[in-house]
Amino acid sequence: MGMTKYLFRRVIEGVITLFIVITITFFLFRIMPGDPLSTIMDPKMTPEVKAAIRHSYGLDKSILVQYGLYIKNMLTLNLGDSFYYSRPVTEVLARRIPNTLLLFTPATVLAAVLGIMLGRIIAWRRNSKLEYSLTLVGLFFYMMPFFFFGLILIYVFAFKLGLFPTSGMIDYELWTFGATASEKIIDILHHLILPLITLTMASFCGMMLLMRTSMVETLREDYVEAARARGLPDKVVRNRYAARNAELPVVTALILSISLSIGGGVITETIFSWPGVGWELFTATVGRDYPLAQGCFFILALITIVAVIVIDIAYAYLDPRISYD
Amino acid sequence: MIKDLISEFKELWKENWPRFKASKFGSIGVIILFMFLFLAIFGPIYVGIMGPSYSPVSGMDLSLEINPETNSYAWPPSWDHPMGTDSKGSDVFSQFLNGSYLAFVIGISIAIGAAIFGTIFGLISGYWGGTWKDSLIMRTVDVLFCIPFLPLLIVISAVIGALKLSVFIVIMIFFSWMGVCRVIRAQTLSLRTRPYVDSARVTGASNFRIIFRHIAPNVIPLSFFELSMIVGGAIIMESSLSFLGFGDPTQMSWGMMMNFCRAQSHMFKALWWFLPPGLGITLIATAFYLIGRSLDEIVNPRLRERK
Repeated sequence: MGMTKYLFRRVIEGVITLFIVITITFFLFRIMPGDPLSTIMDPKMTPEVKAAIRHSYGLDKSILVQYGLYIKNMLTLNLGDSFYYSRPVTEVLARRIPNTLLLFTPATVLAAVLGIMLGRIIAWRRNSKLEYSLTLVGLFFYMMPFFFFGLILIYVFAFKLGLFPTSGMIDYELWTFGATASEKIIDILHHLILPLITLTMASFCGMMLLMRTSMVETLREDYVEAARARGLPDKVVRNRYAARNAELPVVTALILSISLSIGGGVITETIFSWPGVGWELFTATVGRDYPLAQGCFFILALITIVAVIVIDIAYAYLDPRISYD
Repeated sequence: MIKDLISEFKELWKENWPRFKASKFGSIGVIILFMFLFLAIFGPIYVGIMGPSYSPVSGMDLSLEINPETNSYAWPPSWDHPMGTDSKGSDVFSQFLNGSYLAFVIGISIAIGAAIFGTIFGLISGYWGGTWKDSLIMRTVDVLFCIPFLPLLIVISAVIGALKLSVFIVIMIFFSWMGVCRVIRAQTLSLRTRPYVDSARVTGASNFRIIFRHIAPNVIPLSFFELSMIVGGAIIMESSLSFLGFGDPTQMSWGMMMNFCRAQSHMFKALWWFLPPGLGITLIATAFYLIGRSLDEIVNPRLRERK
């Protein structure tokens, strides 16, 4: 069946991408200036001891063997120990991944849904004041760097108005002095709002503008004209006839914007100190915690690849015209 | 090829300049862009007039006293310093002008690099559409689109330290050409079967000649929109990286200004230091987008408004 084959091909492509990501990190960490063991080895050690350490890290093997071992370790999620936490990287990241998904998933869904909704409204009312003002405002925010937008939110809503916490994910005082489950959930949501707005805004405006363009093109199609001529209500023509087809390019663009919003997630998590993978990547890089930084990048790339495949397959379901070969 | 391209552009210009002028958004974009271009050129002149203590990277105004409100040399705007000073007494306006110059350097050089690579690969991929060359290039494009490259840039700077501006530009070019490539490929695919290309082939023109003489001049204008997006995206990416503290510390870009402001925890105390760079990035990126979009509406007749 075509669909299964298509799915299979997408997964294979994802695996290839993953291999390329692994290869990049492997060579990146090999070109590192100086000996990777210089932090561990003491110049006073005898050559025999040095050779023993070298052997224990597998650095005396040929580069090809090292590469093979590296791939095996990455695929079995054996990502080494974090310098800072002195614990396996996998263990550190296992606690960070849910936080990242908690922020990233609703932001992507919200951005797509809101963008498509508003985009089709402004395309429908082309040349109205509403269209011009929303397009300009959308553009302005689309082009605003995420971190700038996020920091302004912090300044206005957290610092000046005091409505939201400035950073973090939980209120430690509340949690240590025993809070009920519902209080904890409300606390997390309270912390989530500002980062969520920032990350949603990052891709929402792009979605809206794209939906507008795509919808303007679709509205000129004959079948839309025909639907109108048949006397169907405006709402039905707009939502059931035009928007259905106009959504398709937006979904394609969503695929391309995933890697950008993963980057946006890193920035958002950093400025809000949201304890996710992106924030960990930032702190690990600042603290020169190579294994952890590499692990974070690996996980972020993995999330991107999986998200792209999921959206791609959803697209294949949405558009019956797509061919699976 | 260059000659053809120039004559193609001249025709495009003659035919479309009135249309471009008529588009409201495009004109706004041009006005904003010229404003920043003026600021970029004005930067060195300003430092020249005001003296070395106004230099964007190393300058400090030693006559300042500590501002009790910010607990540093950061003073709000005054006659001496039109945008105020930063925490070490350096002129914010001078830094802002320098950031404007750097934004142009970064944006334009990355866009040119991406345009060259994207066009070449797009032409090859489209001309030999369906062969292994096409698949190889398009699969590479798919793969590159899937790599989250802000995290990649962060990991790279984790290994080799803060990225020099030139290194950053090279890496960015490598990750920015895919959009242009796709647009050029799609157009080349439809052009390669046109009669005039066939007739060129029959008269014995080499593949190289057909691609660059006959196809390229017709497809390049179509990538304007992608290019304008690359310029904006590159400026934003540089500022993001600099803001996180992994940018080139010897270059006072807008992102770097905001990074210093945050690192000195002056974000909430000295808005005159924090707001100008952020607004600068937003406005310049918006201007490029507006211009690109208007150009797109001109070269892509499907988007044009029906009268």
